[in-house]
Amino acid sequence: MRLAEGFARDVGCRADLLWRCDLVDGAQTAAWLELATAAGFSSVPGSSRLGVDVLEEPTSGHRIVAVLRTGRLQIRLDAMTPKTERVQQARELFERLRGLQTHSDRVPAEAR
Amino acid sequence: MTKTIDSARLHLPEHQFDFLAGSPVVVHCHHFNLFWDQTMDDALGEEVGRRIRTHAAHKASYKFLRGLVDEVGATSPVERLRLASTIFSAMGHGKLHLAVGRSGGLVRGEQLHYGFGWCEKYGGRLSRSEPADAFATGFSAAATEVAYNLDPGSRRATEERCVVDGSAGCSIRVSGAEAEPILPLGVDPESAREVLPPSFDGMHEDQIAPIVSGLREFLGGVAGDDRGVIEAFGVLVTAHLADYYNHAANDVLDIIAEEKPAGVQAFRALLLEAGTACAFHTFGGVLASPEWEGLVGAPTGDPLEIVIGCVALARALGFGRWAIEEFEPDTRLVMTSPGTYESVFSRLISANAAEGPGGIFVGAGIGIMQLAHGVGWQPRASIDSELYLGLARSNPWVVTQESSFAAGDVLDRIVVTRR
Repeated sequence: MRLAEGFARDVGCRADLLWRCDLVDGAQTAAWLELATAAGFSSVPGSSRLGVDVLEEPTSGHRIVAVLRTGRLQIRLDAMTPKTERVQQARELFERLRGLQTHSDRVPAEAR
Repeated sequence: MTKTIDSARLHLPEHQFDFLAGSPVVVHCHHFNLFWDQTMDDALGEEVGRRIRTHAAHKASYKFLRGLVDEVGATSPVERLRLASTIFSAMGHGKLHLAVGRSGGLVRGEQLHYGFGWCEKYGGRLSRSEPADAFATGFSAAATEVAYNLDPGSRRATEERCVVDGSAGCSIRVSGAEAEPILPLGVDPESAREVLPPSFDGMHEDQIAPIVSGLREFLGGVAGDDRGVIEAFGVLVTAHLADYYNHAANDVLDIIAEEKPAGVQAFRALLLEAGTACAFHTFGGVLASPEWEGLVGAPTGDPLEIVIGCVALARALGFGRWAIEEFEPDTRLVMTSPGTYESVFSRLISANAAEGPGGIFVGAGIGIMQLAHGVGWQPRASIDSELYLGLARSNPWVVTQESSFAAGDVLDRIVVTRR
């Protein structure tokens, strides 16, 4: 249930607001969403449509759009984020998402 | 108020048109909205362009708001101004604080779609002194008139401050000075039904229909947040009055036809370019978005898949019931429609219907072929201005409008082929 290393501006990104990362295993998306919710991200009401689910980081208003069937994650920074802070805030959010791990993620495979 | 705004919605499934309070509504993103306004300014210059756009917004908004207050039973000025502000935000145009009395007043705007969108798209790279929010300006004048039961055109509005020049916010002055009467004409469901021919199927309807259905379900739940901003598919989105675009284009066309008839073809070429840009940025952006990946799957790059997706999008966004008559990859695309949001307006309202703009449907033909054949969709597409300009420079496609509903033909039909 880990995020892949890749982190870059997503398609259609305007002024550093849209960023893309992916789960290593897309089949784990639903479980990852539960993990993120438990870590303080809130599910946006009514957002579970079109095969996507949307989480919100409560203090910043930044959102994460998750494609359930593929594990693609799009970070959508809040539109009011100052331009000079966007890259930094996107990276910080990505690092926070990368830090979300289950117990099995933390235990080396050979020790399980 | 006796009814909700939702009760004022009407969908004509046969022709894929959406109405709100009797006015046609289409979904467009900030890329296209800025491009469209720029197209008007390119034709007549910034000053005249802004006047035409404000006037178009005033006419379209008056008809719309008049219909809305009647539909939901808003009777007092306070109720009506609150309703105008609410619907403006719900449609993704930002926030308007309408502090206006019968004679006018000051309107404060926050996150107004055009000004805010311009700053997002161009801020830091381009400078601009002309205010960007003609739509909000005309809307404010109309809201004042409707709130106080004043004649259309009896109030005039001017944007005095706009964020595009670095101002902290936008402000619009509404007054009775130098007002001029307007005819708030526009398309309504009854006249559209009367003039439109029966709809018809094209190719691949079995694939198009479920996509349209899914997109409409998604869009039905989309509305402006507490700042009046709609972010969907990775862009800033508006539910917009189709009459606004159409009044603006037709008024520009009327001026050119009267003052510089030789320039009509050049203006039509500009509108065609707007249609191409719409297809490329809006359709392309949606096809590459997470929402599309969730609903349909990431595009594989099969040209037919792209064409089907674009036609489904046009329908879901309220552009009309576009259909694929013929498609031969890398060679030819024929699209038809029993009428589009532009051609219905031209047929019903425009004095120059035969010259009716029709730019979106026609220009989109080229944009769709560029998306189908000029974009590398795997592993990831790159839908940006750089690619758009590159494809425009080497564009191998040419489009011909073989039938024009606006001009009196039974349908709209375009053919896209290689040069």
